[in-house]
Amino acid sequence: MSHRLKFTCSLILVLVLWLLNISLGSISIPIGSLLERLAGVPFPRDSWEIIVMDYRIPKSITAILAGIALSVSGLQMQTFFRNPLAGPFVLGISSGAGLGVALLAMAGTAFGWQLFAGTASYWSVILASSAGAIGVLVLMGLAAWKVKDSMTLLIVGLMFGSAASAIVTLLSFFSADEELKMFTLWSMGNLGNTGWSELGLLSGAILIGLTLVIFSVKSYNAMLLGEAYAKSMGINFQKLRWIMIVSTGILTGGITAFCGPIAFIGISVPHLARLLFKTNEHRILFPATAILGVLILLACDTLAQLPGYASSLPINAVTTAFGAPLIIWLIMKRNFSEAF
Amino acid sequence: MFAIRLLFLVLFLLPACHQPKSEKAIDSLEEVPLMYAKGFSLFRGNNFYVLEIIQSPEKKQRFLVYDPEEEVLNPDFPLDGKIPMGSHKVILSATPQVAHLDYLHAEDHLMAFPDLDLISSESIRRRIDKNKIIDLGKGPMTNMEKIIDLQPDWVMISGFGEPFKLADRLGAANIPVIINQEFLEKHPLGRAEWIKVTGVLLGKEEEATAVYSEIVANYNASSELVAKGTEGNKPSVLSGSLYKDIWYAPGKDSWAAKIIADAGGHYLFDNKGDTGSLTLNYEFVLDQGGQADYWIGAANYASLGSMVDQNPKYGAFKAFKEKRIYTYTLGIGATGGLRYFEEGYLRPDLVLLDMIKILHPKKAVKHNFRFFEKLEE
Amino acid sequence: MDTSQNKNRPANPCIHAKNLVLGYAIGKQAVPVASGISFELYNGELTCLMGPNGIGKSTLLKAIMNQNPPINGDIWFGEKMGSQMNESDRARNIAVVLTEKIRSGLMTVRELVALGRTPHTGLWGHLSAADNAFVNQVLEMTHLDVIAEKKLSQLSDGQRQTAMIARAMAQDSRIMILDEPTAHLDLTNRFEIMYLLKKLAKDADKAILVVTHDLEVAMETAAQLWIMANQEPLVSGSPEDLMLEGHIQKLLPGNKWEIDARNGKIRLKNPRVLPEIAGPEHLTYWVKNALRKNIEMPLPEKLAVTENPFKITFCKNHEHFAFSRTSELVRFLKK
Repeated sequence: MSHRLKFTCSLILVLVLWLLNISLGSISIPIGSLLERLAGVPFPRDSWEIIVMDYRIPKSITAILAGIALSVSGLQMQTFFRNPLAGPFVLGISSGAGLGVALLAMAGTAFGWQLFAGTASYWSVILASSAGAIGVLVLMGLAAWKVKDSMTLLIVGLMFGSAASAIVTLLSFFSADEELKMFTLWSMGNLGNTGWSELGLLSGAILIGLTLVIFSVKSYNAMLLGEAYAKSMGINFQKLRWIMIVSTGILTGGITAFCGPIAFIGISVPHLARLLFKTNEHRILFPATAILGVLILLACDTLAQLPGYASSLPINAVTTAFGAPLIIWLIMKRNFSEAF
Repeated sequence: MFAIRLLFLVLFLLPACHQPKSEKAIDSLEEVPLMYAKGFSLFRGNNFYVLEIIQSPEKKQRFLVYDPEEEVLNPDFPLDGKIPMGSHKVILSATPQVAHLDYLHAEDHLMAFPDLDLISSESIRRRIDKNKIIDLGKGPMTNMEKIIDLQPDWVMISGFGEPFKLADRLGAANIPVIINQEFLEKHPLGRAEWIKVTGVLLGKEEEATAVYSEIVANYNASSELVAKGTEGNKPSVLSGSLYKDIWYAPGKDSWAAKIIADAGGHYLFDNKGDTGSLTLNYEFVLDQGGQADYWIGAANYASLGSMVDQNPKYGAFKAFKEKRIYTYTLGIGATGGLRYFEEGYLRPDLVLLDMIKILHPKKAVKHNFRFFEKLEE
Repeated sequence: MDTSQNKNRPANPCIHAKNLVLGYAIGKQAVPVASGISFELYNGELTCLMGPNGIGKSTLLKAIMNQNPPINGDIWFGEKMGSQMNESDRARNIAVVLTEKIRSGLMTVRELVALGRTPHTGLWGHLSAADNAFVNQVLEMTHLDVIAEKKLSQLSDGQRQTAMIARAMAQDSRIMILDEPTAHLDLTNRFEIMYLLKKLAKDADKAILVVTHDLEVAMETAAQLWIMANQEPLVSGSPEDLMLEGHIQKLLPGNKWEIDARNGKIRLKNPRVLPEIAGPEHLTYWVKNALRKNIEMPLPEKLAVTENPFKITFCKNHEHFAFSRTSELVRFLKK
């Protein structure tokens, strides 16, 4: 099967899944009605209008953006660090974002501040999450300046992540019930929390992040041979490092700010892309990863909606149920490190 | 062979031999009749009481509440603690019982409480301001060392979480721990009846019974009044709040659901869940409850503006658009504690009147809102 | 420093340097590793850099690649100074092949070789028709055209290393530097690779510098040898000259080993005199080898070797002894 054919099939699948995602949920909205609405015929029930227009469509677009952003970030990390288990969060972004939100939600009781009385507002969570992510990234940037070796940088990122998690644990211990619950729910990920105006902002951020990646495709191909070879072919390694840190920050940090940390997409989708497209050529791999990320996340979100049931699952439960077995299966295959 | 069978028979009978003795001892006491509560039993003896609190189908806590001026009894049946009536060294851990103290004029019996800011009762706040009540600190675990150090005569803790561990540890220090299970009562009046537990412990059984009877009379009178003439006219009621796109609402057998029903309202989720809270997703609630007439009980938002700031999805509900959202933030104590969480469980009759005033205002003209207020911009 | 002019040699060296001091910076301190390093690298020939471990060969390579510039002195690339070249210039001038084994098993040979065009392609790394033609040419030159579509994970070690060389070729630089390219390869591959490099240097007119420990192969294929030795300046010249002038012995510092001037083999210094062995040279040579390894044995004074059938014979105390295998002879003498 040629690459072109694979891409075409994937795009058709995206369209199908997108329609399914909008149609299925606690309330089943037949695809027929959806298509009619497109033609201008109003829905038989008023609530459907709000559900579809203000909830499901923005949610599906968020899923699409998150699918692209997280999987592309993951691919960047895996190629740059030449590590098959790297993902968008190895630079500590989700831990930093979590720390920001934890401070917002729980520092109130822990430190006896009355600053955050009542429930935190919509934008304050986004700002706190972004601030946390940016904080960790700045620290990583400083580390990148001092630390030349990539493996060391990876470990530094993981250590920052652990440190942030430790502080969050401490805050959790002292916080009150509702605040702890609020934080726990945030950390389970949620795609349904962005309205149309926020989507505009998020799309803009994702676009900027993607542009940075697109212009570095050639460098990523060279990185397949490792740092030494890439440098010998004229790749500006320091510049690539910065682009990687900044673009991952924007892509992953942006999604995490609006949706909380979404697990396993960044690690597993690039492997799936390599498995299906059987290539390391990044001009094919980046778009392939992006499209597969969309497919997987749309599917996961549709499942998380628990069609027909009144409740739903947190998105991380579904993405982990998909991603973890996939990674385990890949590792068990004998040619895992060669195929990487 | 026969010897073995005889042995088995004897072994089986032995415990049976023991039991009648203790049961008989309790049977010899007069049981105090309860009206609605199912979670505890009360037995009256000569200048003492036996209080039983049901923890689970197999386990009961049993306490002897004795008059400190008389000599202490040593009954045959097992006890979880002996409590001197009317002690002034009492530790509570939840605000509903604080309301009991208020109504029984027993404010000076409270020795310590965790997180004093939660208390809104004015009389107790006065004592707090005079530093007469010790703060056990915030945090999920009560400060055990401090409790042991204070040597209270009894401690009451909630049945949430892992109360038995704490009970065992304090029990080892000879401090009786009463594990309160009032939140498991299905009927609001059943929950209110627990004032009798506090009353007995403080030596004020009669006052407690008097207070309670009034509450019951009030409640039943109001609900009867509403029951007439509102059969066909039950406004639909939504309850709960959103977190992102998950809606938390009271279940069909919960305290709030019963009161809404008794107030002549149709709670939209009266066919889902149980006594606990429901986790529903947003679109389901919007579809089923988007057109609800009233929304009663929407967490502790200060205003409609702050609701929609926290989550724009609220704006889609009819009750929001027509400003018919009521929540339990009326009556905030000096340090931020909500009156609803303190007095509310003791006065379901007032909560009922509040709800009637919301749903069928003409039937509660003379009543002033006690716990609920309408949310404005 | 060798000054004999090969009349085919170009006038100007590709790289030259005089009296370099090489070393590493540890913190703010500069720690010198080697000094007095002067060299000239010419295109059209294969040059091997040899020397004991730790002498500074890698340091010299890194200095040339500008990863670790010299503490003192400059390296010239034609008219340009190394420190003044930008990344892009450097990539067009020097291509490298390192010892490390790359993974990236999903790449095909063609894709790997095409990566060599990176310094020449535009923003997206798209290869033009000319680029593709060049890649094809390189694949042919290295005989990789038959396996061009195979994935790297399916290649043998030798094939993979050849592919890395092909990639360096595709980079179309004047200079190619290889750091122990045959370290992990088997016997055949070691020779194949070095022969290929010699051919490429000549056919493509490149200056190829190979760091290696393989003396025998270097003697066979290199046009020039650079020898680095402790506390001495870099010595360069043709392998034969260095052998004849004795500089080759610098490869084996210390008092234990030396290079046999007759055959270029490494042996212990002051070998014991062996008995006279009569017979064809290609046979007596190996019997001597067996005896040399067992020098402590009592050896007969004279031996004879015959061909067809192969027989080793000697007389002792008027007794004749004959053996058809060296191992039998050795076993006998050990008794």
